[in-house]
Amino acid sequence: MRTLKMVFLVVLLVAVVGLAGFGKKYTIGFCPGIVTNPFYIAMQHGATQAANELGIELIWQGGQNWDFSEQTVILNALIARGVDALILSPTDAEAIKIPLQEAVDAGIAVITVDTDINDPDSEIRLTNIASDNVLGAFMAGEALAEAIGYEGEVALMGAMVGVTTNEMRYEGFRAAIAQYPNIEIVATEYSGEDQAKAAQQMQSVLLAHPNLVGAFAVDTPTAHGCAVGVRNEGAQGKVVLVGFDAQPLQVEDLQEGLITMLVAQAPYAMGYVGVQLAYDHLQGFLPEFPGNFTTGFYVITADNVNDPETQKWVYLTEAP
Amino acid sequence: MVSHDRRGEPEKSGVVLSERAYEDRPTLWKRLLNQWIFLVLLVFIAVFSVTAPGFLTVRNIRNIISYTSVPLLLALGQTFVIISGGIDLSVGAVLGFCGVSSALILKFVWAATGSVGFSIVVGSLSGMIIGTTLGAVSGTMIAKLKVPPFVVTLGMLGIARGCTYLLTSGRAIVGLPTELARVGNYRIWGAIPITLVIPLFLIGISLYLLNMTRLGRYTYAIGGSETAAIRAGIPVARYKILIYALSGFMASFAGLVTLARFGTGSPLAGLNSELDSIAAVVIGGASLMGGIGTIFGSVVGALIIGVLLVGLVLLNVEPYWQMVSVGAILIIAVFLDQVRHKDRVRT
Repeated sequence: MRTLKMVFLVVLLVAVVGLAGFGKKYTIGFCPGIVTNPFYIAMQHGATQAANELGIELIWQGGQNWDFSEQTVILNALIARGVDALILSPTDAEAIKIPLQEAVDAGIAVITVDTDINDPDSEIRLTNIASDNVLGAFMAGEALAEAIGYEGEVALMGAMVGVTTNEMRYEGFRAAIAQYPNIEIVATEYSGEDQAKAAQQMQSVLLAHPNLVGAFAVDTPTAHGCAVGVRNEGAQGKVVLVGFDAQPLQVEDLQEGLITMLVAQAPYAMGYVGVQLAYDHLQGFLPEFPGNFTTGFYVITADNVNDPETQKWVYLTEAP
Repeated sequence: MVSHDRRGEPEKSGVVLSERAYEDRPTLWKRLLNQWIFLVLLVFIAVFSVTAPGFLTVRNIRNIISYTSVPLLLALGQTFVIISGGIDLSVGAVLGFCGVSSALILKFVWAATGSVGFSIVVGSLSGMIIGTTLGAVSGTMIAKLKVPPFVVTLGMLGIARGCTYLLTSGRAIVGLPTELARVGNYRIWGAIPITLVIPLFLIGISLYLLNMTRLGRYTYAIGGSETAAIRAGIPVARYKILIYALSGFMASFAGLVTLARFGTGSPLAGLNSELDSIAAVVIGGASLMGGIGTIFGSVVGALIIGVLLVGLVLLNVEPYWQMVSVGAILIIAVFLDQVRHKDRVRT
């Protein structure tokens, strides 16, 4: 009887301690690069899902522009609010380091998603969760090369200058094309993430280079704009257009045959895994991280675009 | 309606030019309207202090000040420009250009001489000279070639931002001495951030220039009625160049503050911030038709934008509401500006 009582007491004690530990509500601040982008909205869905499952209060706050001073003020506000962990998609790999250091000094666990900071060994952030952008663009370059029979003139349709993830994609694409001496990048344009401008640029490139056989568009507005440009010039079927990301409008372009292939990232997973890892760290399960997390890609083509599995990879446009 | 107001002005501008009338005694109603925007700021601060967790902490106040410092500096120059009846869309791009060119010069001088202090001084001074020059170039085109300010400064926005990308190949300039970031994040007596001291200093200079010098008087006069200003013998062209040069100077300072705070010369610095600076000035009660505006108002306008941003983040309000609220305040402020404008014509 006494042993039974003891066992009961121990079980009760463990349960109480466990519940107390488990019931502790953490607050996690999540700061995307820009709030209006479906890439980040998909990430928000992932983060919200994880937060709901784990009973975490999630504060989702980001800039309306891709602007590191706006992100810094939001970041500092989250520090002032006293969040337990911060997950952030840096808008500038260098500039954001000083404010992030302040978060670390305030005892906040920091994880980066999508973009990483420069010099990641500096122990500012615990880990980075992202796509391998160089690899993704390399894959896109390879696929483009294959589709055009490893020869001809191609164009690199860029978006922003100076944004790390974009620069990595330019690098990956150029590296892929550099393998094939018969393929030449005859034009490089930067749309500034403006789809109307991308459309105009695509048309100009098509006019200037009538022998163009392929183009790589580095993000959503650029890919959609280029698709419009291809249609306006009647170059559909003549030019292989490979795009990065998978927003609904890009997928529609693919279904219409304007885009040949899309390399989709996994923003939902970035959000979900980010919150999960932050939680594990706060709980003490994961005091240190073994390295970075790569979330992989999914290649969408005309062959698989209507599969239900593919639909899961299309980015989301409505906040949860 | 606009033309009616304009026609109503020359007779008044005659008074404006008579030395002291630019500070003519405001009526109680006008003074209330002037204070109105300040009251709005106080109400926001009061509401957020009660509702937003962490709002009334030293860290957060420092955060608001640091963030506001850049749009505030831009708004100071913009105030002169808008009072003179113009607009400067290039301030954000000039900020970015000055930031990276200062960073490049600083890095070069540091490598050449090995002296951190000397390189920071040379880098900063060159940034100021470049910014002032760019402003003066815009001003010259506006004053001498009679190209509208909107067009000239829009062009300058493109040129300066494009040159910034060309200079940097789009990459941030890194490898600057760590002392730079230490200066930018320095707190006097461990409490007062440098990002508060510099704006206060420049607010002081702006107050002096606008209210106690010929430059200030002529700025109001040119904005009140350019024709009348010319008839009164004011060298309008020269003062316009000065006004835009001043705006460029303030933008270069904003660029230096950004550079020092983040310790890196980013080509993206100041992107879109011209809109914030214009919003701050207009919320602060300046009229885009020229002739009206105060430094105090612009400072309050910039603070409102900063306080709203931070307060709504702390309340975890959906980020879109911040855009909506700043937009709404902007329109309400301009509406009140119209009311005041009518009042001015009537008297």
